[in-house]
Amino acid sequence: MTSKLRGWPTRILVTLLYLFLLAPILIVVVISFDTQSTMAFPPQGFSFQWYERLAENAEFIHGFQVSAVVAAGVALLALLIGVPAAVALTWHEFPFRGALSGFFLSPLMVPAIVLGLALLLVLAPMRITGTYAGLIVAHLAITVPYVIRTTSMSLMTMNRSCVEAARTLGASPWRTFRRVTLPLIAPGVLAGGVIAFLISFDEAVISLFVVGPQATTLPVEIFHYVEERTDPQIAALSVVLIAISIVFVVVIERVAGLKKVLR
Amino acid sequence: MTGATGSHRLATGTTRSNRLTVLGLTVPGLIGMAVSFLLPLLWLLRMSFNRGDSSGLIEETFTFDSYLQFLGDSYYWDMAWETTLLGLGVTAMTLVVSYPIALFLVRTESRFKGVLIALAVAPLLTSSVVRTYGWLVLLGNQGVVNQALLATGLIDGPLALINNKLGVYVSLVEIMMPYMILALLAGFGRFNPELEHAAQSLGANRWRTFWRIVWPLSMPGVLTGALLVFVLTISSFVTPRLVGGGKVFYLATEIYDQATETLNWPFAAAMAFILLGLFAIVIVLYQRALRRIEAQ
Amino acid sequence: MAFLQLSNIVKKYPGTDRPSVADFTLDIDKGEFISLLGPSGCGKTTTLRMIAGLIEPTSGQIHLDGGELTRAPVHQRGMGLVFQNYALFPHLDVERNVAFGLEMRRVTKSEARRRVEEALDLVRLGHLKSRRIKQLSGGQQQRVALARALVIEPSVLLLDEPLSNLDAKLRDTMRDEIRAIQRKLGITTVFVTHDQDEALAVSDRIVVMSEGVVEQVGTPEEIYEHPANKFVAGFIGRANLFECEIKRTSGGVAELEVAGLGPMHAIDDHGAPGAATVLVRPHRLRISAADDDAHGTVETVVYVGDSIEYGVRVGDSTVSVQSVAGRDGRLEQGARVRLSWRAEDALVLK
Repeated sequence: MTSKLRGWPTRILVTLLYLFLLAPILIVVVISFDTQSTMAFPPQGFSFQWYERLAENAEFIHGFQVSAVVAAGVALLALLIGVPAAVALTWHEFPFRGALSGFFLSPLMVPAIVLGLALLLVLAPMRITGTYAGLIVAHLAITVPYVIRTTSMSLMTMNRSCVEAARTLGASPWRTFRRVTLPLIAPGVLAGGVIAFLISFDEAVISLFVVGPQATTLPVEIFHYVEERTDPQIAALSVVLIAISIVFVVVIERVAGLKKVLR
Repeated sequence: MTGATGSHRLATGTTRSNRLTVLGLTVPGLIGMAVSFLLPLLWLLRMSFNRGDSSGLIEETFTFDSYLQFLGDSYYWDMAWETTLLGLGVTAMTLVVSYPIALFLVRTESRFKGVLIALAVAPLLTSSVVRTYGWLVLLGNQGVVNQALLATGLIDGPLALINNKLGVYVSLVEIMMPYMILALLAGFGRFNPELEHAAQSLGANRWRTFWRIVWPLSMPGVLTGALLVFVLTISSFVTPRLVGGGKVFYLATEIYDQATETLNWPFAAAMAFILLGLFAIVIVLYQRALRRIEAQ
Repeated sequence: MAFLQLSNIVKKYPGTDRPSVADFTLDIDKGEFISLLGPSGCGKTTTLRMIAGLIEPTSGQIHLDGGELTRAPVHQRGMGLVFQNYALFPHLDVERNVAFGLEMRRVTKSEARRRVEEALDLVRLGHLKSRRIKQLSGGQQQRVALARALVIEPSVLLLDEPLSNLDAKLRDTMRDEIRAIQRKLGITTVFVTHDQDEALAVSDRIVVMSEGVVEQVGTPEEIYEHPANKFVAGFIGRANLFECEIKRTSGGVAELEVAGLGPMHAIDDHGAPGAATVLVRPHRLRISAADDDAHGTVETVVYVGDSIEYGVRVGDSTVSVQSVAGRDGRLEQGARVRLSWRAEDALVLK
């Protein structure tokens, strides 16, 4: 019976579904090496010309830089405010703890299109749309929940007595945090930081509202590019981004285990 | 007795030092969330009661005009209905194509299980803009699907697979799959293949085993996944915009157009809150369903 | 003046009716080994944690060597605490674990190295100093925890059920070792345990607690021989408690009418006639075969080597009797027996 369940019909079905799931990524990889300039199939030849063009595309390079800087800033800021909040929510008992926890996680329940519009309305009059500061503020709320989640998970599984032991041995609260708590929750904190970076780096919708000529993120550049043209340069760029993603996935998997983090 | 396990919370909620600690730990977060989340949303709410027009002028006032404009126009009612339909349709189809993968991943004893799970989830780490672009390549007139069909002689001319609803549905289903698979895997946590064997040893056929044992056990995961996918779908913007080619209209794309092209911010704001209202309804329904299932 | 003074300590958590610790007062002398003994939930760990500063008392004061430290921050108290689950830092090796407290005190590197070595030698772990914590057995971890607490030369050593995670044999060895180290260093020690044998074996004085209240404070002998009440009698060692009526007391000895047994004698410090309870330890009871004037019937017979343990049915209750094997002969199950004791082997409890 077990063999029947894992028989050929099941295998074929699952393989086809996997193919469907991975089709857009696979096709992007294939045509990134194509020689023709429209997104047609089948490929006409093999070349690196689109990768070469990519290296010359000032907009994409600038967009990449903007996205990387913003994502790094967002990850850092999200950790700075998310980790302490996670400590309070996980370890301390205080009035309205549940409500506060809900508040910190609530941005995940608001559509990006709504949040993007809201941020536009606030940031535009302050004239910080299209700046690094504006983009970092815009991405903060959607990344903090992940930092809190991964950090809380580490805090919950950590042996609390270690903190108390450090305190009785003469460590001030701050030194206890730095020397004992932080090393012990490092996997969760790091995973939170990586996720925050990735989310910010890939974010397109909120960014669409708050970018400007001085600072446009890579996903927005890609979006506008695809709106107008569809040559394989985008495919080449996508392959580069996928490669970067894979590196990140390997890092998270090594550090914390992918399944735990994404739940 | 406290301290036996070391996992207790600091239960000193009344002492002043604890209050100061909690305050110190949460205030930076609260400021960050206020600036990047709460204040913008409140501002948006206020904006939705202003009066705007297509010239981009905004009159500071307090009126329900924008909401009434939306509710009084069958064009927008249709759009809200189409958005809901998109959400329901994509959710159902995503469930159908994700369930076999999730079930397979739970059951398999393959050494490549980890790799297969990673592969199912990996698309999440690729920008949805990139994956949408992939779908444009797949579904375009000269794309893989049309070329393959033409080559086999099944069709004479390319089918219109993009710049219409069909393309939007297909690509959104693929884009939502990893979320659904993750939710299903989480929900299958208490699933034990032995249960299936037990049911079959008691004489249930495979069909009945599935509907009586496997499906009910997976219900929490199904619900969580369905909620997540529905919510993400009705607020998705990039895919409907690019695959729809500006010819398919949903609430999210309309909000963007009103905000950036028509510059009618009050109307865009009102529409954003109508979308949030749709969200709220779905979440309430979800929680009811969840409670019913947990009660069983 | 006592070295460590706890005065009227109360800990009440919000939302609970009963305080976890109620009006705890105790003077501890320098170098004394005190055990806090009681069942789980009696407030002994809470008391220990209040001394360490990990829990703030609702009211009351703690004085150490004349200075008040009721609300002093944990890290400024200089007390060494050994946790039930050891609480060793998993990211540091043995040496760095032990050195942690010295680092916090900014002791110079060479001095720290010397003291860490001393401490590890004291617990006989000098050869394992570069091991990771995960590579140690439970007993070794416990020794590292002890060394880590001792290396800072704490004013008071606090031990929170340090032996409960060890297996039985190791527990006895560690217990004796802790006591030997404590004697050698002359360090004031507060030891929390729920195990009466442990407490009896190591303590200078024992504090028996129940439901947040101190039931009795005394030396192991006092606690065992003269329990203050039924709870202490029942908790420390095995006890037979008989309901009785005090007829008359003279010279510290009471004449009793014991339910089911008839007239008996017992030591009585209270001296008031009326209803009371009399305590007799199982090994102090005498048992003999009888016919007409029997008190009860032997229900169970368990041979445990040194002794034979009988369960004797008297009326509605079962009395435990421990009789030295080979001395008093052997009774069979179902035998009709008489029970008796010497007056000095029984104690009237109020």
